Amino acid sequence: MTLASSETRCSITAHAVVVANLKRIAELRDVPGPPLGPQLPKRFLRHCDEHTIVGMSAVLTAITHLPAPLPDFHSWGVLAAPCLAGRLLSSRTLTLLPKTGAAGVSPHLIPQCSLHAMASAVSVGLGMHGPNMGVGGGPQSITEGLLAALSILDDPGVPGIWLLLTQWNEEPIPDGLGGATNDAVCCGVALALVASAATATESLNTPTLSLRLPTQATPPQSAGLSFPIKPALPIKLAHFATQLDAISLHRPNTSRWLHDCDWGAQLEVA
Amino acid sequence: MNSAAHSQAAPSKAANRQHEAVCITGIGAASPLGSSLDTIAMNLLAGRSAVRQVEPGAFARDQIHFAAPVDSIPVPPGLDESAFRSLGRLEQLCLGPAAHALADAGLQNDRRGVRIGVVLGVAAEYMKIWELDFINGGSRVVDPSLDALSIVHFMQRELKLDGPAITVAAACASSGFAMALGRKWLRAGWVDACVVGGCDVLSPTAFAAFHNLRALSRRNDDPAKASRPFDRDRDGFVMGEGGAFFVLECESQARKRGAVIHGELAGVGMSSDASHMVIPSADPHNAAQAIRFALNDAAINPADIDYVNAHAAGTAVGDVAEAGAIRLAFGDAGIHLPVSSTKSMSGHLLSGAAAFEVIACLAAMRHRAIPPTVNLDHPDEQCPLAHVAHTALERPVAMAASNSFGFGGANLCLVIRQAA
Repeated sequence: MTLASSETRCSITAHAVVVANLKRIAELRDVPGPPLGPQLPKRFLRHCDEHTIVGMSAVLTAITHLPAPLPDFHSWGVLAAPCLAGRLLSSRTLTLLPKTGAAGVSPHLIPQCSLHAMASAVSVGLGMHGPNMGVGGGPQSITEGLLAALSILDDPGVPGIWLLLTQWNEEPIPDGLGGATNDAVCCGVALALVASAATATESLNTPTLSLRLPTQATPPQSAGLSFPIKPALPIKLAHFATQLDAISLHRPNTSRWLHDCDWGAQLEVA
Repeated sequence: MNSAAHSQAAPSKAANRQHEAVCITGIGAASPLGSSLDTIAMNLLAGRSAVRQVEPGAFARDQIHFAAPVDSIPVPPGLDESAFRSLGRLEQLCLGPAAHALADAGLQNDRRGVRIGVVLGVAAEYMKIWELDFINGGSRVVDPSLDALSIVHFMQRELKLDGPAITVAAACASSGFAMALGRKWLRAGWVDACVVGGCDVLSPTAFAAFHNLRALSRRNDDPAKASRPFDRDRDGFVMGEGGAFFVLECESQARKRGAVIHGELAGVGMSSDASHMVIPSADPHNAAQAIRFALNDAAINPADIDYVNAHAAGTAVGDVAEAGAIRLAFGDAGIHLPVSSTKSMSGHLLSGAAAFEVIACLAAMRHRAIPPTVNLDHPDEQCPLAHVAHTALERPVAMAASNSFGFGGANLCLVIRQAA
């Protein structure tokens, strides 16, 4: 059984990077985006996880980077891949649980800190009716988010997808009260993705995200002969963001970001 | 994949698969109603409730005393029992059924070059892991250096899968979204087979958080009657645990391998309410849109559907919203279309619900009978559907639709076609 070599790709029509420590995240909770961009309902983010705030801020900023006229986002989908979200509220909840019992568990814990929460907040906050889902959740979230986005862009009636990637540069060490004992910094990247540009000129001016499948067929095997497969090193989002900025700023150019997936495929932004 | 999203130069087994039927060739489950299709079918068609009194853990003892737990998680074929039992409960609930699905598909050992991916639907993996670790005296939540590989990558390693592995979450629709994504991977040519599904686990903070959201039934005095979707006396859902996994393959490959085809994942539709982080929209249009997308994707008309397995969890707002969506999407064809909610018996398996309810659809097809909504003593007038109440309805089912809706307004409909 073999798979043909093939490539799946899409265009990155806008992106934004937001980097914020906990103090800055507290400010973004009230004012998440630029003044000239879309505005959320007041106090919309008051119960959100820190990842959601940074991700939302990145989307709101990226929207201001899109050329006018803005696309109609009504039918866009939202994918969000936070890496290890919910730690601070989980820690607070678990620390207090022996004292408060069940009554002290926040009803916001599940809707605002689960893996779907960031995607849902963007969908609800900005009125996007395409599919919304969380992706990853663990150390490989960034890779998983990029793969999921590439695999869902063909959904009927979905003209584009917002992909949100968030990761702490250094994980927060919870103080048990909802804060951290270190100065943790969260990085968020928002990517506006559409099916590949139709014209050569457009594709020259627009970065593309692509997945190249392995050219070699999976060798005939009985399970176990080639395992365990070596897990790929997790992508550092801050590094990805720097590369993405460079690729976008200096177009057309030959710079690219490459990532070898553990199953033999290769992700590329170029 | 949209043609524009594919390289022009790509040769194309992938292109040949664009419209190929995607079949279910392997099934595995760990649910409150059993671990095999036949056992689950027998219990569902007999109208047996798995909801019973449980010990919810010290921290939730003052609230809810009932749920639908999984009593026994089958040890996967080929794995050492003690090693398997030493895993965390969430890992067991994922790995066990997934391994059984692979074995059922005949892909446990003999892969013959088949590239196999895995898409896991689970909504709050790390929060659950941190919590269960904390209750056992651990400190993973406050010590990030202890964070381990996510479960899907653990599954990839343990099941020796050589394709892509990702986790997706859409709250209570998570495992259905996993099925949707696996189908896309097959059609895009990324994989030759894909393990898809999801599960969830009972935990004290989940009990407490859903209770404090006022989402759970409070019938502590009568657990078996607590889950009553579409009934006017419903007062919330009942927590369940477990889920189901499947192996999906394109039909041509499945037939070439001589695999048993249990059914076809014929259509998928997804949409979002974009309305509220918790409460389903009272406007049924967006949920109905997901149903319409699924019917279109399956290239069928509303009248072709023989049975709808409703998401209906037994919440006041959700059941009414879904009834409106079903009526809107199916139009006149919906007036006599049999609808039931198997959550009345299984409880709400949360992340695992959508996949488990695909098993309910396959059970209806195999046994030519539609499982009932038990406890539906007084159908809510705001849910005017052709309910299958109390007892199974004997009727052939060739095509079924299964709805799943999640927090954050995630809407999903899967269309399942009977195996030819």
